[in-house]
Parts: sequence; structure tokens; C-alpha cells
Amino acid sequence: MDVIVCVKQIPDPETPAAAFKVDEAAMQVLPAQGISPVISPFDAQAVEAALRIKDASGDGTVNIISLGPDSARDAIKHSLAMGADEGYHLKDDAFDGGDAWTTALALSKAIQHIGVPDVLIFGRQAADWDQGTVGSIVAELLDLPSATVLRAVELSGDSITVSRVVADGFENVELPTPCVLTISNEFGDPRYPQLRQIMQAARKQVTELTASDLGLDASEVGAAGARVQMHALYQPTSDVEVEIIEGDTPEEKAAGLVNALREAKIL
Amino acid sequence: MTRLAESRRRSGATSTGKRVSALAIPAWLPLGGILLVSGAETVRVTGAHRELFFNIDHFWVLYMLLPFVIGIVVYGLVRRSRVWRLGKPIVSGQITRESLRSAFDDLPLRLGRLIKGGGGTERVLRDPYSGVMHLCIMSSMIVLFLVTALLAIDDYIPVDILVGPRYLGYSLVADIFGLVGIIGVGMAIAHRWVRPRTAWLPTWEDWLILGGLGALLITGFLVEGLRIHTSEIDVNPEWSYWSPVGYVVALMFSGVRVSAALDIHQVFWWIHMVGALSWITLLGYSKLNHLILAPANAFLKRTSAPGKLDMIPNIEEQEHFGVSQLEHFSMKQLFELDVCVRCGRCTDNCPADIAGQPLSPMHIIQDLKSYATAVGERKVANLVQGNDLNFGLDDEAPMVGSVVRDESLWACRTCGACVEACPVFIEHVPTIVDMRRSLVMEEARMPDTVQGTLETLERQGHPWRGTPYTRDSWMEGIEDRVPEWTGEQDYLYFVGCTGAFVDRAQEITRSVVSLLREADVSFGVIKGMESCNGDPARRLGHEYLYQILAEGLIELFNETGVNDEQKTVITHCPHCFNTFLNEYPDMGAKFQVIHHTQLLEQLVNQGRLVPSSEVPEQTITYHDSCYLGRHNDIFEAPRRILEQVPNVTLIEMPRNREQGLCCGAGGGNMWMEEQGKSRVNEVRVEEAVATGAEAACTACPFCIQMFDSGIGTVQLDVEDDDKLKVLDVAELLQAAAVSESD
Ligand code: SF4
Ligand code: SF4
Ligand code: SF4
Repeated sequence: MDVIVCVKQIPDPETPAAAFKVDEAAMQVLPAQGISPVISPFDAQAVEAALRIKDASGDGTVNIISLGPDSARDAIKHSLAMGADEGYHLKDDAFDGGDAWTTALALSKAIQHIGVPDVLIFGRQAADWDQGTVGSIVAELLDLPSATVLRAVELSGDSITVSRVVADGFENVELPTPCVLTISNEFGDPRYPQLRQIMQAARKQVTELTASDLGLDASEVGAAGARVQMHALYQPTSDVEVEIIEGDTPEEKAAGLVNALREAKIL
Repeated sequence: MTRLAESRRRSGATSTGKRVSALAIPAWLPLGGILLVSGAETVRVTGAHRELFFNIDHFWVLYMLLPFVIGIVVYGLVRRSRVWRLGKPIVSGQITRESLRSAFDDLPLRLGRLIKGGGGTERVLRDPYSGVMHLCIMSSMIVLFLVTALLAIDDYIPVDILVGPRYLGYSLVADIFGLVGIIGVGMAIAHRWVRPRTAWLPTWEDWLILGGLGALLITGFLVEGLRIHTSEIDVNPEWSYWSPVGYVVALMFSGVRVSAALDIHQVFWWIHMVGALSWITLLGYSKLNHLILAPANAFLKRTSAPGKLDMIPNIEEQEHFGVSQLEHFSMKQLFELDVCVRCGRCTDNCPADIAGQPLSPMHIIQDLKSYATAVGERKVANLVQGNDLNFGLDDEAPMVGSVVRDESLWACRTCGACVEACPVFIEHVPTIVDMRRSLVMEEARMPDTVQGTLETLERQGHPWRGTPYTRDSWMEGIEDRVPEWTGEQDYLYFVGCTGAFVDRAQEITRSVVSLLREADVSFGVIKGMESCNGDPARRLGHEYLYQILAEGLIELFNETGVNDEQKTVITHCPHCFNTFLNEYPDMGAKFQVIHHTQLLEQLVNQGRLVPSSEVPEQTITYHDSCYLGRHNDIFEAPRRILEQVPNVTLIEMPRNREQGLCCGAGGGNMWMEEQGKSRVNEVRVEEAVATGAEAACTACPFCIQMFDSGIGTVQLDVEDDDKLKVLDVAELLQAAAVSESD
């Protein structure tokens, strides 16, 4: 079964708050010193899901697409090291400043360019902007059925059974192929690449595709084609007030705490 | 070289070793006395002698057997050596001049080990009971061998040496050492009977070697007694007093007719002689081979610091990473397996085993040895028959994962207590880490915690996943008091990841800075740009990641002018210290390295730091960090600092210095979940608490964290004020020597 996974490279979500900085004027996140960007964790899980599907079906390919600057190649290489077959890097200055819509547009063109596979997998959201829409938009653009926020994926013949995480439990759904899936963190940890695979991945060619390769005009993508406008980017400040509740015995302290919580309307 | 002399390895001599071997001396004093007095007495007797083959015909059969015996022993060893030769030559690739050179470097050190550790059984003597036991058996065998050889020589040379007083003295010595041997064998048997440990229940080997030796010694005395009974006691009774044991045996036979006694004598003589020759063949087929192999292994032990792990050169071109098959080991590692005598000392000293965790270094070596016997021999056979090395071995259980279990490999702290304890100089740590390397790099099979740590190292350049801090958080508020490294100063203070990202360790970092400022040391810190030196990755088995991190850091050191013979890097973490000192030279490092306790001791001695202000009166016990102490021989510097702080009384835990017990954090276990009955840090905290000390001092930020968390559980019910306090040596010294609050 052939699978394509779309991955994104993001600033490491484990970056300590103290090291996270934005340039408010340019409305950009500043890269933190000494902390390399990583593949979005949900996307790594999406690659894991794809590899398991490939293993379960016994044949097929897992290809990776990523849209982003030069460094996005590392996210592709990481996926290749995990065991994916080919990588495609959508790289063009014209893509700069895009939004979920332009990204989905470029990705869908790339998928058609490579050939629509049996399954298309995304992470449930990119762990930087957390919008969680690209997968669904691609499904719409390609007119494919989709299931989002999945904790389990299983092959059953030609169709696919998935388990969705919903507010009050799980929802099991069966989809025909081809289809679009987005993977949630409940799916489980992605594999750690073997060193030999890392080295092989390092040597593998990644195909680069520009907007014109995909038949897209510069006006359709990037900032020019974006439908979302950013108005401001800033780091919220939060003030912490500490009140020590006095009391001679633990009981008194507890009573004081209950009162304080009632006053703050928390209880 | 400003690396202090102390940081060089001594030849392996240890204070305990000396203490116990000295202890063994009194045991020999009475013997010496007897020998002296008897020596004087023998002079009065003349003409005493004995016939070599008294009462024996066809003794030439013995001489015929001798070459066979030697042949059988040599065959056994040569056969075994084919398994050793499955391994890789000591360096890599072919046996090159380079690999030979590495096996023979530092000859004086190697020869010293051969003589003291091999011949002198230095490490065996550390334990009084087994030391005396082993000394008894060994001295008895050596003396009896010489005695027998002398008798044979005497018989064949034209002049008679063994006559008169010389013969009597000779006779007495032989008797005494025969008895000493019996005592030794008795002690060994009692040891196995009285203190049997499930970990090393005696096997056929033990009984064959010990039982055989005991039987030889006893039949020897029987033969002697019968000879005395039949030919000496009536004719020259005063001669027979010089064979006291034989004399007693003779008396026991006094009722037996001489003709019958002569027959019995013949029977026992042949049993004794053929038995002795058969027993000698065990040299080629059992752990008795340690007579030959142990001194050889003492010679072959690496001369580098024990904490050093060897580099995988040209890692990108390797066909396999680490060890998952016998043939991936080096020849020396395979050889070593056969040297092990199953004494259990390594396991007795292993922190993981002490805490009831699933690791016993002895079993790792023994299980590998059995595997080398079963599978190694088949591999050899495949080679001989021109088959593929692994032909027909597909169904064998994998060596890593089944013969040696993953959880055992992960439980190792790389603390080196096993290596230090092993009387035959086996090096367990490189063998364990080699198998980890295969788990991590070849199979990517590891506990989640290890994976998380490695990923954090890859991405963030430090192992502290989830830390809220940045590299420079520790200097918040004191930025202007922390001099930036300019390339002009003498010392670079390398803060390291723990000193930067862990709150408790940040306090140590600030103490060190304040002390260096107080003493006016010319130093600087590379702000914001440091990255991990790679130690955690290397100990966890990810050699490739280690090399990437180390290359990155060396590049930074090159760019900033640190990598220069004139510059010295200060570390307060023993792990950084060990890596920089012992492992970075392989990566092209030229700079000098000093641990903060070494530098602080110098500063106190030079009067540049004066620990004069009164700290509260307290008793302190010092915990040796493995990577500072056992791995780099720095035991005294931190203790001498503590001794100079007024009001401080230093006391020791029973396990200290070379025998110090790891805190549990080493080998990457700082970032793992412990499995087993208890946690290593709790065991160590209990030991510290038992000394009655108010505080424990150490010189390692990992040890401090491990102690703190151990105290949390061990002293759960103790009032906060009465809990054991844990301090870095620098923090105590700061309290005593720095007046301004920096
Ligand atoms: S290095 Fe330490 S933890 Fe590892 S086996 Fe040896 S004694 Fe045990
Ligand atoms: S490895 Fe060394 S210490 Fe351990 S059992 Fe064998 S001989 Fe004894
Ligand atoms: S943390 Fe300390 S005691 Fe533990 S292994 Fe490391 S240096 Fe040794």
C-alpha cells in the first residue's frame, strides 16, 4: 500500500520558555540559540503510522513531502531515517509567508504530481501554530474522504479502520482508500532511527520542487495567496501573585485555603 | 602538563591491597620461626637422605606420561585460542604494528601489573579470608612443585645435594607446605559450604580442582608415611621427625606388616603420581587455567584510564556498530572471558546487584563464556570447513537480548567497581558498553527514557529534557560578576549541562565562580554557546552522537582559542572531567584539564583561599564520585580541602576511595527508571546516614541530585533539620573562605 506523509519542521516545542523569543515588529518567531528545529512530533507519529501500514500490507512505499525553508530538509531526512522511501521538498521563495490554505494548495499539487497514493497521512496539527487544518483542506482539495485525530489505524483488506479521539471517548470509523488521515499523540511513540538508516538517509537525494514545477503561479501561494492576515505577534505576559495562607494547624491552613479559593470564585 | 600527578593512574596498587597483604604477614611469622629453629637443629644430623623411587618399579612410565600431559594442556589452550582469535585484533582491521603496539604500550606499567597483580595476586589479598586461603594453596603448590623438581634434579646430577641436614630441612619444608596446602583447600571448601551464595554455587570445576588437589596432598602424605613406616622409622628414627606429618601417618600404620605396607605404598604412589599428572591437565580445560591466563590478562589490561571508552574509528564506514556477535568483540575481550574464575567479587561490589537490580557482572562474563564455548566453537568449525562463519547458527538465541539481557546492560553505571575488584583484571565496562552500542545504534532498541535523553541531546545539545532554563539562567543577577571568555585568560570554566540546567547544580556553579573570583584566578566562561561534551551519549552507547557532539565542541574550542596547550579547562563535573581528560585527546584536544577540587586544593595550599570563617561545627562524610575517584584516581584533593575547613570533622563510610559505591547515576542511569528491589542512591544514602555524619560532601553534581532524592525516601520521617545535608566541596569551601556574598 502506498502512503504519502506530509511533515513540517518547527521550532523544538521543548524549548524552555525563557529561550522563546519573537520579533514583534517583523511578526516572526526568532530561532532559539543552540536549539535545532525538529520535525513536528505529531508528524513523526504520522510517519510511524505510515511505516506500520506499509509493514502490515507487505509492500508499497512511504514518501514524504515537506514545505518549508532549507532546514525543512532535516525533517524529511529524519523521516527517511525512520524508514521512509523518498523525500520531496517544496522549496521556493514564493511559498514564504503563506498560511494553511496556501500550504494545503501546494501540498495537494505536489501529491498529484507524485501520484495520489492509497493513504495520505498528516499529523493532527503542526505543534508550532497548532491550527490543525492543512490535512482537512488537502482532503477537500483532492476530494478524498478523511478521518482526523486518530489514535489507531488498522488495515482491513482494501479499506482502513481507524479510531478517532473525540471529546467523550473514541469513535471507530471505516474508510475506503484513497483517504486522508491525521494522527494524534495517542497513537504512540515514533521509532528511534537506527544509525545505519540515519547514514543512508543522509546520502539519499531529496527531490526539490518549486511553485512552477507544480504548475502554481507565484500569486496563488505564499503571502500573495494567503487568506489569513496576521495583525500582531507578541508574547503574552502573565503575572503571578503569591499569597501564603497562614495557620497554626494543617486544618486551619486548609480552611484558609478553601476560603481563599471561594473568594477567587474557583470553588 | 598541569594535569596533576594524582590524576595519572597508579599501577593498580591500592591502599586496601597493601593493608591486607600486610595483614597476611603475621600468619607467616610462626612458620618462619619454626623454619629458623629447625634449620639450626638439622646441622646436628648427618647422612640423612632418601631414595627417589623407593619401592617403585617401572617408574619410567611417569616420564613417558609427562610429554602427554604437557601436550594435553597445550592442546586445550590452543583449541580455546581459536575462539579468542574469532575476535578483532586489538586496534582494528588486521593485526598491524599499530595493534601490537597498543597491546604492548607502557611496558613498565604492564610488567608491574604482571608481577604484582599476576604473580603477587595483589587483588586477591584484599579480602583477608580468601587472601589467606589463596596464598596457602598457591604457596603450597609452588613449594611442592619446586621440591619435587629438586628431588628429581638431585637424582640425576652426579653430586648429591639432598643429604644430611639439607635433606632434613628439605623434608620439613615439604611437609609444612603440604600441610599449608591442605589448610588452604579446607578453607576453600569451607568457604563454599559455609558461605554458599546462589550467585556462585560451586560447580564440577570447583569440586574437581579442590577435591583433586586435596586428594593429591593427602595421598602424598600417605605415601610419605608408608615410606617412613617401612624404611625409616626403625632404622633412622631421628630422620623421620623432620617429616612431622609423614611421621604421624607412619605411626598410624605402625600395626601394619611391612610387606603389606610396601604394597599399599605402591598403590598410593601410583594414585598420587597419575592423579597429579591428570590434575595438571585441568590447566587446559577448567578455570585452573587462571594460573597461566590471569598473569597474561594483568599484562594485557588497557593502560589508559579505566574510565575511558575506546573510540569507534571511521564510524561511518563500519559494517556494524558495537557488538552483537562474538566476532565483533576484540580478541582480548574474548580471551578475558576464559580468564574469569567465577569468584563473584565483581558482583559483590556492583551497585546494581547490591540494590537488587537485574545485573551481575560475573554472570555477564560467565554467560558470554558459555556462549563462546557453545557457539564460538561452532563458528570456529565453520571457518575450518570453509563455511560461512554463521552457517547453521540462525536458530541460536541472540547474544544481546537473550544471553545477556537488555535490562542488565541498561542497569550498568559504568562505575568500574567490578573492574577494580576483579582479581584477574577483567574489564567489564567496555564489554557492557559495546553491547549497548549495538542496542542503540544497530537496533534502536532502548528504554523510552534513554530515547528521550538521546533525542534531547540531539536537538537541544543537552540531556535535561524539559528543563525550564537556558544555558545562562544560572548567572541571572550576577552576569557582571561572571567574566566572559576572551581567549586571554588562563582558565576556561566549563559549566556543563548539569551546572547550567539543573537548579541544584546551578548553586554549585555559582559557588565555583565565587571562589575563583575570591582567589583572583584568571578565568572566563563561554556564555550561551557551550554544548554537551557528549559523555551521556557515549555511555548510553550512542558513539555516533558522541562524536558529533564532541566534534562540535572542539570546533567551538578551536574558534575561541581554548584548544591550546597553554589553556586549562576547569570542570566541576567528574563526567566532563573524565571525557575531556581521557577521551577528547582522541578527538584532537590539546588543552589541559583540571577538576575544581584539584584547583581549589592548590588555591588553598597557596593561601589564595583561606577557609577561616567558622562554619557550624559538623561531621562530614565524603562520597567518592566514581568518575573522579576510581576512574581518575582523585581521592585526596577533595578530602584535603574538607580537612582544612575549621570545625569540620571528616569521617569515612566503609566503602570509600577505590571501593566507593556509586550513587547510581553513572552510565546514563541519571536519566533512566531504575528496575529492581531498591534504588542505588537509597543504598548509598543509608550508608552515609549510618556514619552518623550531619552532612555528605561530594564533588559531582549527579551525586548531589542522587543523594537528595535518596534522602527524600530514606529519611522520609526525619525532621527537615535533622536530615542529612548534601553539599559540593565547593559550597562548603565557599561558606568558609568567601566573606562577601557573591
Ligand atoms: S560498572 Fe559498576 S554497575 Fe556496571 S557492572 Fe561494573 S560494578 Fe556493576
Ligand atoms: S569477572 Fe573477575 S571478579 Fe568477576 S567473577 Fe570473574 S574473576 Fe571474579
Ligand atoms: S554520578 Fe557520581 S557516583 Fe555516580 S557514577 Fe557519576 S560520578 Fe559516579
